[in-house]
Amino acid sequence: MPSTSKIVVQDLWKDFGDPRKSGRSVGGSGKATVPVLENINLEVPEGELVCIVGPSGCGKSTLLNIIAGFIKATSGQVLIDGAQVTSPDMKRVFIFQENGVFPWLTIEENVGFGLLDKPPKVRQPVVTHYIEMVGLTGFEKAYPREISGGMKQRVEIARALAANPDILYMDEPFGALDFLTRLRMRAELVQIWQREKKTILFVTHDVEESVQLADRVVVMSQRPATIATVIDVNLPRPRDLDSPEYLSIRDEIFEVMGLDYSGQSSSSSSAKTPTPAVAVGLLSSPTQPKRLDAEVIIIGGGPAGAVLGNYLGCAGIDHFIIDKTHHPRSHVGESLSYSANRILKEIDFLPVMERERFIAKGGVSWTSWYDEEQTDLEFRGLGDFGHAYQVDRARFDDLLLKHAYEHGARMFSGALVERINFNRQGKATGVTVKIGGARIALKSRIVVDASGQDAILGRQLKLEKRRANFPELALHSWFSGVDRGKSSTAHFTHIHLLRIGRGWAWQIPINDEVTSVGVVTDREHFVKSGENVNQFFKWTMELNPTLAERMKNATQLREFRMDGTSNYIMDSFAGNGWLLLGDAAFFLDPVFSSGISAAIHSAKFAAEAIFQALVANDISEQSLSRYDEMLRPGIMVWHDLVRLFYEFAPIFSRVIADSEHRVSMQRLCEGDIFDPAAQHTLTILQDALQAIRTVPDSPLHKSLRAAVI
Amino acid sequence: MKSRYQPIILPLIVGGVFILFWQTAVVLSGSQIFPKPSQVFWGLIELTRKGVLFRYIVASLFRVSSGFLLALLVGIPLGLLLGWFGRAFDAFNPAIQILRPISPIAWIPVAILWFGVSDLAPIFLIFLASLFPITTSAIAAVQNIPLVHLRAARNFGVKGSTLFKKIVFPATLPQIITGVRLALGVAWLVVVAAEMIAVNSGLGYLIIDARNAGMRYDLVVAGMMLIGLIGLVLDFLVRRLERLDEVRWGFNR
Repeated sequence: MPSTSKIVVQDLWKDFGDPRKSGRSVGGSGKATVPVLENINLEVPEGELVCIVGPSGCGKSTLLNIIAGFIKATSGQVLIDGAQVTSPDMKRVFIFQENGVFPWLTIEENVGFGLLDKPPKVRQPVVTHYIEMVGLTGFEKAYPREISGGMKQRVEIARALAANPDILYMDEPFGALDFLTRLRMRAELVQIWQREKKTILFVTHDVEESVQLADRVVVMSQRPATIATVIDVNLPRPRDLDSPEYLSIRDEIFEVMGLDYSGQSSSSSSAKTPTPAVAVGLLSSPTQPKRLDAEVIIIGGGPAGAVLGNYLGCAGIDHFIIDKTHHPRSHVGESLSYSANRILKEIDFLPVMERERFIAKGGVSWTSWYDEEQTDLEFRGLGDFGHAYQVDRARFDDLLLKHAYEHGARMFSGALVERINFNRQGKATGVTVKIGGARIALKSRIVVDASGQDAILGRQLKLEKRRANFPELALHSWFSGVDRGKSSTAHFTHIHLLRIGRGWAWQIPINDEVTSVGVVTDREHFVKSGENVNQFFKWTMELNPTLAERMKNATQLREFRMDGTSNYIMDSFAGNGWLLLGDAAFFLDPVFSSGISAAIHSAKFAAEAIFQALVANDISEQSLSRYDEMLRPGIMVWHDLVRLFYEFAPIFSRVIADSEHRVSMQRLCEGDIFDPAAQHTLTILQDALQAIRTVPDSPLHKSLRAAVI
Repeated sequence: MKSRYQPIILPLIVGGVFILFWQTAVVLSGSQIFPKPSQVFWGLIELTRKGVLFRYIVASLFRVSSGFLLALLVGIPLGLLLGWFGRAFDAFNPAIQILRPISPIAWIPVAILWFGVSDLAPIFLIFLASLFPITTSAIAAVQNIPLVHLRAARNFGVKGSTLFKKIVFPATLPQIITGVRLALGVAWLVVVAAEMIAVNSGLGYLIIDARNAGMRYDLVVAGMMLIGLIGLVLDFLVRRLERLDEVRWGFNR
């Protein structure tokens, strides 16, 4: 076939045999293959400088290696001057991304490497000439380890030119250099090319670089790569990087690559692959291990982040979860509320809860200081689930995160988020994480802060928050030998009201042996008492006769943990490209165990909002504020519910137990705060409680006025 | 600020403290058998006077250098070949991996059987002991040659014996030197063990003989210290190799 082109690529296809991927078996051999290049056709006339640009990992390097003869194509052929390429040749020199300069030779020995068959008399002037051309005169006797990366790359170019080839193949040769050196090397390359009139095929992932260098830019698509388009760059050299022509060509290429990108994201749902075990601090991804961008970045691998990860994974939305700790942690919130079941069911986690034998929580029992009665609010009759769960949070959080991982989350564990990055328009564009000693920038379209009370984003943006006036001290530990009361309610969560202004204690069974006991009260009680933590805890146990009895033979199993539970609700839960989840958005008193329930509900709403935003391709503040609208009313209901509890603590549970609206009130207390009827139920409860205050002869009235310290 | 002499002064201080501790420990324990540092010193003088010290050192060094050189001559080419030719590697590697973990000491009876009580037995043991570190490091070195260097060489039409001479050998040299250093350490360990059994000269023989003939623990300890010091010198000499311009790139120093 007569052709005037120097390089002709015809119908080139390339598959990689990859036994690890069993999904896409081709043929009957049983050996699976992955298509890398599909039907590549390309012609390069002599003396032209052509750039091949495409997303990282698309296969453009493979294409160049095939053209150079280092790798064999699966089908199709490459012709140079009309002859088929079967192996590399000295007439066509390859310049490598990772620098192929030989470290055991001096600079001049390296440059002369292609001329070894020539006598020194011929070789020496050529070597001197090219060393001078790349500006390395004086470094002839130096070794590569003694010069900089940019100089090494120039040695490699000199070595290539000294061999007097027709063609230079360059595979991201400036990729490892710093920005300024890169700019200078580009300018030098263009000068050398103009002087030497070689044909150059230059591979890069940098669109700017391709437009600065090339006569023509070949734009490749995502893997399996095809040629998306070829764009002529008819601009005079040296090129003006601010000229409208330059910018419009650049943007044209970006557009071609960008369109392709969005197509990729929608197809990723079908290609979801379970990933191997997480290594600490390693970015794990089955297909593209080094891709540092995702649709969504979730900061924090607690329940909120993990549940969101589960939802996104199921929807096939590519996301990172960045978790600062990979150690078990103790945490307030060991009792899951009834409404949490619904979310756990949606993400298919209830089988795990059963398999792991978490204790079934059949209800909540309440005791008071002024009598020895126990009010039992059972879950039976509430709806679809017979029970909720008591959990050891370290284990529960860990399992939930693993579940997210199995659904396709890409994980960074042991990584600390330093800051959330924003662009000039104020849109969140990703995060900078510190992992080991290194800093890595991760990019995403949406950043979700689920960092718990660290509230990383809230702090960075100095978001305003509304503080709620609830007790702010939680003191808790694990015990053995706690008497759990009558056997029918032994696995319930027990709330013991204390004879103190505002204060109550929880008793939560963790397993057959261990019971978690904690006190929540105003900080000032502790400060005024002047006692140490042990004495204070012991004293509070005596403030309820039932509790005192139960703790009589208890042995403490681990150190006390004191949490300052500041109560707050952020003024905005969503902004331009970001969302706040769980404790990063709000924290309220743990009396109804709603913290974790609200956190995972917030994850569900976030998943909905993200999904809609991505589908509509609108991630503006306005679009994401949908999330705020879904979440906030429920959080306000919860706030009012806790306020009612503290106002009417002595009679709170008894009014519910006696009410004809008992079921809906119980559901409210169990976290159904996002239900449309929640506000209504809250009003009924409030009225019922108020009624007791205004009717002095009602039996509960006396209890309301029971003396406290 | 770090002084130029710091790497000399600090070890000397540690050595001084050690000798002091040694002296005190022997005096306090009232041991009649274990020698004081001074006794060891006089033991050394005594050996020198008798003229055996120099003879023993030369004997040990001769055995080590013979066995070790033999191992270099066999091990480096063998390792390069096995590293380069995948089929040969597949064929021989299991055998190497089986022989490698067998301690050279375990070969002593076999060596005596084959070579009798002569210099050949310890030389054979040293050869065996140093062969494996050298061979395996050469194999790994070839297998670790960066693809980019091989491709660059191929691009310039370098192949066959030129490829070995110009690329494979220089590219592997730093890692081979590391293997050689390891091997020399092992060889020196083994010569002493071998001399304890099979021969009637050398530093190993000195130690076992001093104990058997009259519980001369001053000479036992003197022998031990000599072995340590000579080991230090040998290691120092091989480390000089790492500073050669052709291989310095392989050592991040």
